[in-house]
Amino acid sequence: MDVPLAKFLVWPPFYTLQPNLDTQNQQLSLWSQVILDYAKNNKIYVATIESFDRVTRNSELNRFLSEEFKDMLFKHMKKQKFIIAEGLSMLIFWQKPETWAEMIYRWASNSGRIGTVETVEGLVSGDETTSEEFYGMPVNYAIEVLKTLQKSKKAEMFAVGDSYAVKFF
Amino acid sequence: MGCLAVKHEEEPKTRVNEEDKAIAQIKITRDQVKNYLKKLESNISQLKAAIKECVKNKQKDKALLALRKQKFLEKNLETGRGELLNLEGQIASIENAQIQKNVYEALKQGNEFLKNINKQLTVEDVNKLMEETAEAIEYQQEVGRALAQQGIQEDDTDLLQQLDELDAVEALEVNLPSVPQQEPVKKHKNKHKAKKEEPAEVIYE
Repeated sequence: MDVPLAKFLVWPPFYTLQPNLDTQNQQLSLWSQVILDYAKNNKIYVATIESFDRVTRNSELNRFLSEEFKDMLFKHMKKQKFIIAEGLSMLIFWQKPETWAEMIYRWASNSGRIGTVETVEGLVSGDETTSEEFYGMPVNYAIEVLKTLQKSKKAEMFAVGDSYAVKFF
Repeated sequence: MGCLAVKHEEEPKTRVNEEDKAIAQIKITRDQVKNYLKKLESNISQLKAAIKECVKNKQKDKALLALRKQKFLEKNLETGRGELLNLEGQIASIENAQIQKNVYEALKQGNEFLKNINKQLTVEDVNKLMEETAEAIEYQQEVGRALAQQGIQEDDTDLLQQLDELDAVEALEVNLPSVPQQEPVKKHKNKHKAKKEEPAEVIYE
């Protein structure tokens, strides 16, 4: 796994689903990494399978992942919790929800917001968080992140009409 | 729905109260106003671009119409910004009031605690204690005095007898010759006139 991914991406067999289970698993892991890196670099929070065509297609090599391969790949990523499906789209967690959650909680703690209420939208697109890494996160993605915070009792989400708010503890 | 056998999970105790919900509602309204303003700003910049195009294409009427629209939107933007300021101001006031309430509650609790402690220690208790202590000290002093008096409490008659005995001793001493008041007289013997004067016998009594 020390070989940088770039080398695999120019190696034609990489685009063919390997029959050998062990090799296949390794291949799926590597491709997961490719997808996640791409998402991270382009801050892709929400996507469809097609969003990654740029990566899963290599016109120079004239290679691309088959539908079957793509299916397997994203199923694999869902199992590994890198992806949470939501309707027709997917939430891509190139960073685990727990990591994001810690980040948000740390911001809340540093800005004296423990014990106060904030809207989820205010968290990701408000004036107070413009310099935070999680600024610009879609609300539905943030809700998944906050769910983990809720599980560790550091926050509680509640609905007010159609919107969500969160209280930090 | 025959779910007699279903075990209902206990509702986790929520730490969100009515106050929180009210604040959340205000903040949600704030978010909505913010989004509305964003939309206005976007519409205005679109209009500006369109006006430029109209001017370029010499479409005066269209440009005028668009300008009127822009003015209208900009007025709404100004009003909206004022409303947003009001909302944010109210949010700040509420959060401030919450802190003040917390301070009051903390002081009140501290006060109750202090009152409780004072209740357990009254001035009467302290006075009683001081009194008892003083009594004890006085008693101690009395005991001391009593102990000191023990050896001197003899009969006065004994003392008088002792005094008589001393007087008697004193009387004996009175018969002795008294101390001479003058210079002693020098005894000159006639027979020995020529002799050297002997020092007179001085008889001292």
